[in-house]
Formats: sequence, structure tokens, C-alpha cells
Amino acid sequence: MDPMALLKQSFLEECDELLSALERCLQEMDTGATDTETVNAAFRAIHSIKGGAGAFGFTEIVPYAHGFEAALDLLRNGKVRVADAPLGLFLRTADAVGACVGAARSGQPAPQFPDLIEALRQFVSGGGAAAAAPVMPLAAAAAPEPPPVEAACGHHIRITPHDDLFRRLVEPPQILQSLETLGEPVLTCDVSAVPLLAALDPARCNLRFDVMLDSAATREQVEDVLERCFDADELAFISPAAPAVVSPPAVVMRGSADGMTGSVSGAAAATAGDEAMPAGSAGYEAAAVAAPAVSAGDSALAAARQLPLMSPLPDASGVVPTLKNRPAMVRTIRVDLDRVDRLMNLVGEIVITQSMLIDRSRDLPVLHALQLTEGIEALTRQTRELQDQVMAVRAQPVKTVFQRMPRVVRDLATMLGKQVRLATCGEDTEVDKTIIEELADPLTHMIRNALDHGLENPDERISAGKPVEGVVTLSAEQRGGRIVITIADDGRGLPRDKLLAKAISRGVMAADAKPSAAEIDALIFHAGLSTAEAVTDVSGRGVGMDVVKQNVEALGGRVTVESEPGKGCTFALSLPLTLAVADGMVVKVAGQRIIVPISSIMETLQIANCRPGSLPGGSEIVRLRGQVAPLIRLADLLELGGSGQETVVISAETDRGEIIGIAVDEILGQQQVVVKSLEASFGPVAGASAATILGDGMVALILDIDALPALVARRGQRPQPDQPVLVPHAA
Amino acid sequence: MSEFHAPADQAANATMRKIVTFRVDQRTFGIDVAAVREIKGWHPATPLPHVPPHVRGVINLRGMILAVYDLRARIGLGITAATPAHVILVVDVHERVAGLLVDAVSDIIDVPASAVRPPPDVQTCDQMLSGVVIVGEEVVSLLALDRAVDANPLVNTYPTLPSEAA
Repeated sequence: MDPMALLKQSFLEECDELLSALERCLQEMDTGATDTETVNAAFRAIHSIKGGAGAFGFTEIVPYAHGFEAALDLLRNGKVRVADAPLGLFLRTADAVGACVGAARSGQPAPQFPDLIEALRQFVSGGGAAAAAPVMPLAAAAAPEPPPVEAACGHHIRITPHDDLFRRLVEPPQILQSLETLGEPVLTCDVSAVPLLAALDPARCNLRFDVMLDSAATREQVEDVLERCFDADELAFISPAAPAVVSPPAVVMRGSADGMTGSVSGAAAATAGDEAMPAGSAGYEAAAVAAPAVSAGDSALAAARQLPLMSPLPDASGVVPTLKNRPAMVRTIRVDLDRVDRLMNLVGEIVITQSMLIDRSRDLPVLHALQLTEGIEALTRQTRELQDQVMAVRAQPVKTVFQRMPRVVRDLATMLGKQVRLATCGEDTEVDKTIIEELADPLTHMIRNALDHGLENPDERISAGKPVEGVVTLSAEQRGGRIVITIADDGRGLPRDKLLAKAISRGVMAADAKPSAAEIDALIFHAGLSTAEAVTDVSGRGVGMDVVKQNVEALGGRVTVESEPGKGCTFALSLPLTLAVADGMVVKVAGQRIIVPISSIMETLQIANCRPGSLPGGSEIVRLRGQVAPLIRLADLLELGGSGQETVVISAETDRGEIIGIAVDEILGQQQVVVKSLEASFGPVAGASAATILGDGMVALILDIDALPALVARRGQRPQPDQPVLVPHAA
Repeated sequence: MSEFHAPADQAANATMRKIVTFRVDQRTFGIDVAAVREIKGWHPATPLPHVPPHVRGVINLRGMILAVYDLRARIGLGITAATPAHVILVVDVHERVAGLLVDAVSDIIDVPASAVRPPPDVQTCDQMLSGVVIVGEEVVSLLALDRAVDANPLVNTYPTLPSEAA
């Protein structure tokens, strides 16, 4: 890929981030944030998009960005109150920009929304009128800006570029040239900061420009032009009141397009070796390229050196920074996710090698083994830390998904004519990026369901004695080794009679079945059962919750539902925190080693100490912490043969809070295991969530604690318990 | 290893297929050489619960979990008493990689595509063959890999069970 295409691609990526920042700001405004910083952040985001879009030739984005920016500017300088801002228009414009970015990425023609541009234009021009009666200016508290310099006196702008100007691929000649559209610019370049040849870095910009623009244009218009290329803090408008102490001009150029041709590098080539370049006539070209040109020969340097030095900066009060808050330096880099994945895989390999070393050390003579153990212990600590760090790289707060939801709720509530408040909590809970990415669709779907099916219409709510405004709560929390995301609404709850009737009519459930309330609720996850009376735009096609369930299970997660008629309904997604490495207890069952995830284990007991017994019907039970819990003999359940050797009971808690006793022959130890999917090679295996590779190279299954109760229940229904029974695979 | 040659008149102008042949219980089977990733000696597999007997379990293939299918059990001749002399063919089946436990690999032969005949109508193994080819004195049964390495039971070998409430 050529470098320009790479740059464009990286810009489009950046646009996504900027748009999401923008949307966040708009949402904050929507929820009542009126602080200057929010508006400024939104402004910066759209401004960066506009600048980049112009620079990279995505001209179709510019009109929206421009109109948006102008509109936000009214908010920024307090001409319009944030509370009065047309957020709907803003959100749609953000969407339009997003659509254009998407189109640019796929190389398709950009969609057109002329009505948006017109609406923004009207808002901006209307805003100008509103300025006659200005409301409480936003920026007042932060930094009172002096009144903008008005047309008659023209503008004096001092441009002090950061020294990375050339690296930004900015071409000052073109930008300065574009000032000609506003009036006649007189350009002065200060080259006093250009170092001697020996110290010169041609890629650094050591130049400073002073522009005297004789123009009727407003300051905003001038800023507009210049900020396509320069950061706001590189620009300073010097008010005419302050003494303009630029004397005598270093390199002066009267604006004529011809003199400003060529890019910086092109000009550098042109001037290279031009020994007789007189300071006065070299003009802008010499100045713009002073740094690169110096490399061409001493004489050019000499010419530059002979130029009178720029006078000291005028009194600080005369310099008005255009943007007080410069965006905080973001100390991040962009890394291809594949690289992080490879890193994570490598950590996995190290964990396996480490357990191999531990295994081998057991065969050594005691003295040697002791020496080795010390090293291995250090290695274990370091591997664990390495793994945590790599995982931290992959981890992202669920906020990145959650923040899309207010929008979904807002749009849908309007469409459905319901009043809905979305409450979120635990947005900072961090989860693996892969999981985050896969969460957006299921969450959106469930939120839509909650709004469409869960929450009642306003009049229904009133007659049910509920507040008109429905509440949907979205929350995330870490529980043990898993993250649990719940979507709760305070609506009518699942319609059990309808679910059951539908299940019977579709043959999903026998007509004479007497399912429990929970079993009926669980039907919501069954494919093809939708209870909406009419198929709407929103939902009701019956291809909802079963897809959600599949998506979540593909992530190694589980989704459950709890519903209370008239009170509301809660869906809970329980997901693994990471897909890569887990802590496991290695147990032996009928000669096989099996990994029990530590995160589910509560305690381990001798089997005799927990009073095993059996219920009529044959189910075995044990007493765990004063409770009666089912006893699951793993050798039986996993059909490994040879049960009856059990000596230890592991007391474990499933994600539904059930406590079960798992009988195993022996506990071998505890270690970190690398989670390897069984689905990739084989398919889902009932009772095992995944597999891992032990130190001796053998594969061990990782027990799926949460699935055990269901497996036991299914086993009880088998027609012939001693025949091998096939568990149907997901088609 | 012995060389097999298809009749010269056929080989002259037909498209050739390269076939890996292997033996299971005195029978010769073949699969396209392109489907074979590697051939490795038998390694004890970790059994999986709740799977039909022809799924021998999973092994570690350089960090990857590989499911191993017992071809002898698959065709209804009982489970292979695997020894280190037995061989696992690591094969590509669509997106997956799978292991096929066989008695021994015999040869790689070139056969003209035209010499491959459709499998006989009476297939005891639920369409597990994609064709047969006669090489010298021997009948080589070409496997339909996706059917051979399927965890689902064969219709006429194992009893089917009622699927989940559906």
C-alpha cells in the first residue's frame, strides 16, 4: 500500500475514534452537562475531522463537519445555551459524517444529506441573530475573550508552528495562499530560530510566520482557513492595540499565487544550490524552506543568517490564544490487534513450558530440585505478571459499548412514544477487547427488546400505578473470574401464558407439560418464539433472543433471564473475563486429569466430612456449609468409568448461585492453564468449556461447572443410563 | 514402497489425482494428498465425554487441540487397539483440522481422475465414500472426509437418539 493510502486509512480510523468522542460529548450535553470542556471537546473532535478530511481530499465530509463546527462554535462562545442546542440535528450530523467516513473507507460514493447542511446553516445564521441578546456565555468562567478584531483594522496573526510542522504533511504555502480568498495577506517569516548547519534537522520546523491580513473577513473566517493546517495554539491573533513590533520584516512576501507554488520539499529541491539567493527576493519560498534549503549550501544559510532577527514577542496581553484548552497529549499508540493476539498466544506457550519445567523438576534429585524450584517460582511470578500486563493491553472498559446505548434508547423511545430513562453502572469494568466487540449486537438487541416488549405504554404504566417514565438499567460487574452484564427493565415482565401457548403450538413443549415459571421464561431463548403481537420495525420476528444466546455462548458466556410479572425482567450475561489463561485446580478422575476453574471453587473437603447421602430416587447429596447440595461424581457424569474411588469433594458455585459438590479421586495441584477452544477442532463438548495442554503435552479438559447441573438433570432423563448417550450438537 | 501404476493408455491424457493410500483392517482407503497436512505416530488421546466411540479424543498438535477419529470404529469394525505403530493422518476438512487414526500409510499413487468410479450403491457406512478406484489387484476406497470425521453417529451403524426438545 502506498504511504498516502496508509495515511488516509489511519485518518479514517482516527475519525471513528473522534466520532465516538463526539457522540459521547453530545450525550453528556443531552444529559445536562453544560461545562465548557464538553463543548470544547466536541468542537475539537469535529474540527480535527474537518481538517483531516480537507487535507486528505475527503471533501464530501467537509461541508457537514464545517456546518457542525460552526454550530458548535455558537455554543462554545456562549451565543447559544447548551440546553437549547438542537441535539437531534447534531446527532444526525455526526451520523452523516460517520456514513461519509464509512463510504470513504469502502470506496463508495458518499451519501448525501443536503437537508442537514441546510439545517446547520440555518441554525448558524439564526444563532448570529440570537447573539443580539446573548445568554450567559459558556466561556465566561474560563477565559474571557476580548471582542473579536473587526474588519476595518484587518488582522495580524502570528503563526508559531510546532517543530513537527513538516512532518504533519502540512503545506504552508497552500494554506497561506488560501488567505488570499479573504483579502491581501502580507507574510513575514522569522528565520532567527534556524540553527547552524551542523545542528540542523531538516525535518524540524524552525520558522515563524507573521501574517498581516487586510481583509473584511471576521476573525472566525480567518481562523477557519488557518486551522485547517495549524493547531489552534500555534495561532495567535495580535490585537491592533498592542504595538506590532515586527521590524524590519525578515522575509516578506506580498501575496501572489505564483510565488507560493510547490510543496516544501519541492521548493527545497528548487532552491538547493541556488547560491546567489538574495534575501529580499528569495521571498516566501526561501523562508518556507529555510530549514531544508540550508542543507544545500552555506550561502543559503548565510543569507538566512543575515536577516534581521525578529523582535521579541509583544506583551503577552496582546497575544490571544484562540483555544485555551489544548487537547491533552494522548500517550497511546495504535497497535494491530493481531500483534497483541500473538503476544497473548506466546504468553500461553510460556505458561505451558513453565508447567513442563515444573513437571520435570519433580524427577530431579532433591537437592537439584530445590535449586530449580527457586528459579521456577520466580518465573511463575513473572509469567503471571507478564500475562496480566498483556491482558491489560487487551482489556477495555465496557463503557465503549455502553456509550452506544443511550442513543439506541433515545431513538427507540421516540419512535415507540415511550418515556424511558437508561441508567448505567459499572461502565469502567474492564473486559477483553474480543468480548467487547462481540457484545454490541446482543446488548443492542436486548435493549431494544426491553423497550419494545418489556416497557408498557405510558397509559398502561399509569393504570398499573407505575411512574410514566420506564427505567432500563444496564450494569456490569466483575464476579470472580467472570463479568456479569445485566439488562433490567421495570416493565411488565415476560408474558408466560403467551410463551407457553406458543411453545405448545409450535410443538416445542408437550401440551400437557407442567413447566416451572423459570422453564417458561427460558423459552424466550428458543428459536422462533416471539411474543410480540405484531411484527414491528423494532422487534417481533422471533429471531432475537436465540441469536443473542448463540452469540453469547460462542464467547464462552451464558445468558439467563429472571422475570417477575408486572415488575420487570432482567437478563444477565455472564462472560469470561478473558479468553486466554485461567487458574485451574488439576484433579484426577478415573485416571484422567481434569481442570476445575479456581474461580468457581469455594472449598475442598474430604468426602467423609460432608455427610454424603442419597435422596429417594437415587440422587446423591452432600452437606456443604450447612446446605444440602447435589453430589456429582465426575467419573460417572463424564463417563470415564471407575467411579467409587472418590476421596475429595470440591464445593463449587455456578453462575446461577447454585452450590454443587463435585466428587473427584484426588487433587493433584493448582496451576495456570491456557484455555484452548474445543469448538475450533471438534465442537461443543457437554461438560467441558474448553481444553488445555498440560506440562507433559497431554490435553486436559476444563470442567464447565456452570453446565453441570443441567447435565445432571439431562442424565436423569436418559432412557438407558448405561448406554453411551450422544449429546446433540448445535446444528 | 511398491509403485502402483494406472494403465498407460489412461494416464496419457487424463487429469491425474494424487492419492495417499492407507490401510485399515486389510482394506485400503485413499484421500487426496492435498488434504493431508502431516502424518504422525499415535499418541494417547484425552477422551471426550458424551461422544460416539469413533471419536477417540483430543491430542496436542504443537499447541493446537486436535480431535482424533478412529476410522476402524467409524466403519463399524470396532475400536482400534492403538499402538505406537498406528498412524494419525492430520487432514484438512473444510475449515477444520482433524486427525484420522489408521493402521498404516501405504503409498502415494497417481490415478487418472477418469479412473475414479462412483461408490457402489450399497454403502454400509452412510455415504462415507466419495468413489472407488482399482489399482492393480487392489480396490482403493476414496473417503469423503467430511463424513468420515463427523462426530455425529452414522445412521446405520449407531442408534440415533431423540434430539433435544425441538
